[in-house]
Amino acid sequence: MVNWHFVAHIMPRLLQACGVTLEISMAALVMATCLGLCIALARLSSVRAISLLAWGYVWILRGTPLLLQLFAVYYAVPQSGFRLDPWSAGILTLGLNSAAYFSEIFRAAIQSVPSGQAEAAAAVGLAPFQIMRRIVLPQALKPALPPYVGQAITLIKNSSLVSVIAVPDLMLTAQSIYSVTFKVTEVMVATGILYLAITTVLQIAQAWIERRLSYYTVR
Amino acid sequence: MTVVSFQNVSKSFGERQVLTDITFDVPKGEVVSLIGPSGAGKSTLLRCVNQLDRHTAGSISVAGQSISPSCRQRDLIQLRQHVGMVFQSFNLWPHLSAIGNVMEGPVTVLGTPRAQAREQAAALLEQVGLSAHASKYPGQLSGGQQQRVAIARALAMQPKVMLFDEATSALDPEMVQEVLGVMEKLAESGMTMLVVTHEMAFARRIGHRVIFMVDGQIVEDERPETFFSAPATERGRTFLSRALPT
Repeated sequence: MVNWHFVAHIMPRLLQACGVTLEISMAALVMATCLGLCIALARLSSVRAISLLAWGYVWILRGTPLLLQLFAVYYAVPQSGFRLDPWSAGILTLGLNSAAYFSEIFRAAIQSVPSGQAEAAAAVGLAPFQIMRRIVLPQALKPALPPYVGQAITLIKNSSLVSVIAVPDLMLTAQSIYSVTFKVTEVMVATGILYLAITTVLQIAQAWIERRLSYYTVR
Repeated sequence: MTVVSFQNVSKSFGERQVLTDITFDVPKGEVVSLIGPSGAGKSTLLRCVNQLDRHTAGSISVAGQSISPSCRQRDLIQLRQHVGMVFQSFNLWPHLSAIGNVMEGPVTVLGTPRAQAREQAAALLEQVGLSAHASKYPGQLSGGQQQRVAIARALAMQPKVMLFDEATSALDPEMVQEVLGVMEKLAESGMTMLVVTHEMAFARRIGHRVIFMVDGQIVEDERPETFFSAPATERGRTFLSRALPT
């Protein structure tokens, strides 16, 4: 069975690596959220070229494997003379990839706000960007939240892929421990618990924010 | 003084012509009822006044500002500040309180300081009889209350003209009167109003003038007492015989 003493023994090292996973994931999450929102707005643009560009971005980034994108950014891009260290390559790839998914979540949420809402704002004299910022986006927050958190959790789990370009994250550290000790079960149990702990925090945050956003309902 | 002026205005959605050669002037303080069968283009005409629907030909002028079919976004924003609109489905913003809904225009569009906007909004909510509900959210208000908030929201911009697009059609019968009451008070205060309505008795009572539309055209443009007692056209007579209980 699981040797829990050994699990406790390797925990400090894994926790340290957990910091790397968190750091990369959070940086990629911030980037993907901002970029995803821009792509969603571009996709909804009435200028056809802009909307088409956004559509193409999502088409390619969502339609090819993340692992392939990671290799492309880390190995292929440097051939054009632009070198990235593993950390930056990892964050950049995760961010670019997740932005495609986030953009679709945001687009769906924005489109779920009834058109009468924007119309009433236009009738009062708000400019298009004011309508988006003051009226539509605040209402899109609520429908966007559950799929957004789901995608954020996927991002955190996908961050384990950066181990293949030698970023010392949780996954790579776990692999290097069991390749020496051969205690695969213990290492994977400990690593699994840590990933689960991180994603659990996100789920709790989601429940908390959902409660805060429950202003619509009749009390 | 003319507040709204339409000169040979037409509007089409692609192939479909919805307004044909509409011409009329509304002087300051006049209350105009727009009536006619559904699909006649009444709502579209109303929405051309504040350009939620852009007209495709002719010229429109509102509060001295002329609007061409090709004018820019900045001109539209300028125009809409002078035109209040009340929708059939209220369209209150559910994430803002009643008073927040009323304050939004002055604060965001006009840059009014929040404290001052709040004071004005409170006065408007009192005017529509909703002082006690200022901090409630739309989801906590009845349909009639929501529509009165929507009227206050439109009035907050101090419009030169108010548009009512079937403002009572979505309301339960017992709530219609409270909204009509607010509209009637507004009419008496001298507000220029264009009212699309199916409430014939109301159109007759508060309207200074009735514009009867069929198939995107103005068929009759009369004083209410004339139109309702002796419509000049066959179409007017048919419509009234169906719309008015006998």
